[in-house]
Amino acid sequence: MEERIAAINAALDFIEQHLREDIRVEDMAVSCGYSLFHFIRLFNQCVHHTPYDYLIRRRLAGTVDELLRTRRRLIDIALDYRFQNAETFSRVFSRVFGLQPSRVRKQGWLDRRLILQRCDLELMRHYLKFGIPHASRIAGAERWLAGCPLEGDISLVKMREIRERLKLLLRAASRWYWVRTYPLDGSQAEPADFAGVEIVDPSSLPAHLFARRLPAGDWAVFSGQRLLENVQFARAYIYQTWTANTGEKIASPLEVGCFSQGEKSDSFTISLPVSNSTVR
Amino acid sequence: MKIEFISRQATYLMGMSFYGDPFKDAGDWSESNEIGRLCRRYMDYAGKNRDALLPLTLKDDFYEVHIYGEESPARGLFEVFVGQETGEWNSLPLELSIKVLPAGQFAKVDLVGQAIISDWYKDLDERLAREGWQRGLPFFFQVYDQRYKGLERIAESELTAYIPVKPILK
Repeated sequence: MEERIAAINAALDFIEQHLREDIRVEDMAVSCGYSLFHFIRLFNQCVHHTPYDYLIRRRLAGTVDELLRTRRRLIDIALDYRFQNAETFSRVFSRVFGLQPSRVRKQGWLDRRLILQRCDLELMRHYLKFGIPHASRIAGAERWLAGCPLEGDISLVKMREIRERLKLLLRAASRWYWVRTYPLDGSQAEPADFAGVEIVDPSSLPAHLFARRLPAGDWAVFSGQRLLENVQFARAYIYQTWTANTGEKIASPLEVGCFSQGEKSDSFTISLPVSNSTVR
Repeated sequence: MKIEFISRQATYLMGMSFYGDPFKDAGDWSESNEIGRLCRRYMDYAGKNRDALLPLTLKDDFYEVHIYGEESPARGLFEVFVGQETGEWNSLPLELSIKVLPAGQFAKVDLVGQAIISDWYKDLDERLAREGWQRGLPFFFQVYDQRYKGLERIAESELTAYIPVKPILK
């Protein structure tokens, strides 16, 4: 397994070094010593993108950086990253990020969750060991949570703390929610985190708790092995790969973790509000 | 890996095809990638239409053909065709299409056990050159017969791959 990962990592290095050059998938295969067919198979297995799709998305990541950091003309950036012309660049950019490049430059920021980062050894090892999260789509009704804000990202330890803390307050609960809200204004602010349990009537909220509404709508629900322990890998897959491969659009900056206590075992899922939004 | 150089007549296949990157959804050696799905689609169809296909089928052997084009080295896209030999075209069902494998010289490669899922194709050019041959047309095919026991019994399986070749002119 390590040999395969090392070979694909060499190909990923090759891609990073040649983002602005006219490279082919066959060149990537040669860079790590595999035949084209075998390389395509292994690359998909390790990275969960096709090699060509990965190349295009890493090029797009480069263009985002240039759009936000420089005043270079769009056409120059597009040609620099081997897009045929401005129209092709805009079309591909919009399909991936849901916004025209000109709009991104004007507003001065882009949801960084969607920008494909260079796939690293740890992520490949995680994919090969635990697989990818399994997604299902559900229509969810509006829900209210009672709980409290918290600091820092979710983790196994933190989830246990939250469970104990809220259990004292709401004894009947067997399911705990953790809600992360990402800043979508281009600021460098940290996401806001909240943990709580579902309540039926927010008007009966105990004075020492806060209420939080989860909107009705379509949700993509992700489950998988060791999701809670490896939430950073799950996020990399969900935001950068799953959205890319399915064409699903994220409808709001919310991310909801749900920890359920079962009779035999506990489970953890991550949910995102999704929609079929159009390009703006 | 045993290689033999042979002549083959043209082969007419009836079957189904896929074009793209077949490993987009599943890169491993599993039946959930597009090649696996394509095989299952053909097998399901053949199973449900056994009586209609029987008079059209020359042999039970199952063919998997990989055809490379301009988009293969550039973008990793290629055609995969799966099917069986046929000699009867006129009554071919609408759901199936015909693929003609041209006559010519072929390198016949016997793959046994783990070699089937190895990168056996990688050093082929070098091996062919040592024998005075080079690749001919941009395709190859694998023939699965009763020697192939399935992915879950790969260690006991065998299959034969055919690569079109032409002599190196000196």
